Amino acid sequence: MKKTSNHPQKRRLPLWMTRVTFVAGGLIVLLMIIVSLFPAVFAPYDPLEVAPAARFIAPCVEHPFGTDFYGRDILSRVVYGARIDLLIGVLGTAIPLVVGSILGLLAGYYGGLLDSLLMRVNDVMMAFPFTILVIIIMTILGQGMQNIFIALWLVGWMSYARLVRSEVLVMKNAEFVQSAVVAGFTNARILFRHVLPNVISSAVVFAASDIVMCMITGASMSFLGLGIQPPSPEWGAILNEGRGYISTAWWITFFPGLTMALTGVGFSLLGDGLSDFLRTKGR
Amino acid sequence: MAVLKLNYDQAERILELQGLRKWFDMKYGLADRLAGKPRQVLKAVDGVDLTIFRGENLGLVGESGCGKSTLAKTVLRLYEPTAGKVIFLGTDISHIRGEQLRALRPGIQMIFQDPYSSLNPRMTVYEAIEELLKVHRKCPENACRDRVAQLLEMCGLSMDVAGRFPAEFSGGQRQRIGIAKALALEPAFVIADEPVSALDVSIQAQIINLLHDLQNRLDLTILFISHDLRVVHHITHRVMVMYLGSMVELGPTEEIFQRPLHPYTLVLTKAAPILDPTNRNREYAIEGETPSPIHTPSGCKFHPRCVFCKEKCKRETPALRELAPGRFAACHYPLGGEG
Repeated sequence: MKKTSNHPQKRRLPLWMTRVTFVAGGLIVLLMIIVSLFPAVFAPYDPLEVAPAARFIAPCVEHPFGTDFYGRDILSRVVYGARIDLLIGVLGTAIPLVVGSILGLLAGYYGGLLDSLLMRVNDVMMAFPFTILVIIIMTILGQGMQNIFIALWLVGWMSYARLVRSEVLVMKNAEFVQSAVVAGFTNARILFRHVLPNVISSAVVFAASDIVMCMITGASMSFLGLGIQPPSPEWGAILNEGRGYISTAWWITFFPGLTMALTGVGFSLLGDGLSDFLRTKGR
Repeated sequence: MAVLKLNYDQAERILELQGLRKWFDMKYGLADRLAGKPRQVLKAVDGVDLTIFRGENLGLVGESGCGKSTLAKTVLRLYEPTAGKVIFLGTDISHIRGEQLRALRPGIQMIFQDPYSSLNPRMTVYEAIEELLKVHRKCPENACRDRVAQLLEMCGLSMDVAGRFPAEFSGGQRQRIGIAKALALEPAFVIADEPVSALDVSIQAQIINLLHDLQNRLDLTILFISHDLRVVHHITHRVMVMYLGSMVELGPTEEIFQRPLHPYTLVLTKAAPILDPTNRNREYAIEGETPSPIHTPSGCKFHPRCVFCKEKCKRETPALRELAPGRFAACHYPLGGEG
């Protein structure tokens, strides 16, 4: 501990591979973001347009992903769904990342009552699995997009608070933090300029995989009928609608599922690349 | 306790410690309370009186755990003293807080022990030094670059390295950066807490010489903490010996090494390894472990390990006395027969 740097030195992958995964992940995520920003460009039809004559069309040139029970174009629905699912993923992660990190930073640095209180709440909530907690909160709050966010925020901050706090506990005894105190810097400067940059990387890396987690949880809620209301195009909701026809019309579930998996892989690769990048910086 | 008077009476007093104490409460849990155990305190620093004069380099030596670092951290106000006073340039800083304390902090700076953890890994050398200058407005905005260059050069580094992160430097180079950072705030008083003990022996001499040069050039006042007596002998003017939180001897370096008054000082100076396999100084090898600073021995704290221990030593705590001009020791039967 004494003579080594505080950041793990080992690299799991050679540099070029890190770059490939990072770039591949980045491209997938970028594609998803562009699709969700400009759905009208990518979707050939209105995602809500019902066409009884065009029910259960298998993937073909006019409907690359096929159509569902109501004759709605699956590709269009998946494209419009990207907007909702990405929003759940990103917003469901961003707020807990910021709030949880700040709480963890303060709790770890100052300790005392704030720390005990925060960690006991954390212990109690950690006793329940993430998804179960979200389901419970959704059941209490009721359906709807807004409530998905509230549920994800209420549960999500804990991981960040815990992660950042434990790093702060180690970092606050580092001599460079003491040297910042001795230099007469304000607490705010010490916390945000000296401690935070050295403890945030693991939280940021965790956030990249947490986006996937939030997205999937959001989709699961819709799949269970707790989240987004039909007929809104949301990947989990589309999966749920196609569930009954999985043996006769596989494309209804296959394409949204595939898209979800691909997006998940994209964010994970991005997170991996990011973690290597953050660990090398300043070393 | 004795008031310290040196033959350089007229010199400016940079720092005065008056009966300085730092006690730590030990953990007192429910189980201890139920078992009826008494509350325990660790007396890390237990009544130290000391005056440090402008321009001197005072060595602070003692075994690990004797309270050297606690003393330094209390002077730096990383700890608040339990009792006693820390007077810096005539101002009592023992209990000041907040803005007042922050305004005084640049005056006392520290060179840290471990150069691997004393630099923020996410700031370049330039950013780190510039931040110090800017926060305390030590130089006009447009002169910062020159001042950083000057500080680096003073510490044997060039401006070429200013854009690098700490990880790109060796231990010795990092310690040079640490020294540059400590000097950036133009402190009146610098505490060097074992500044070379984490470095390779080959590098140690360079850093010691650098400190020595800087002290002469900038007329610095330094408290040099070390357990390496050869280093202390080499660069300090006076030496203070600490044992279990108290001062046992204080005096000019050369005299202390030539003719120690306190048996503990004798043991320390003789315990330093000599590169001669035929001369091992076995008769001076210290016996036993340092007693716990929680349960300190009665009378003279050193008596259980002292070869000259007499009945009086077990009962009465010896006061610090001036036994010769500028020479202080806390011993009932000082060596050399002056007492």
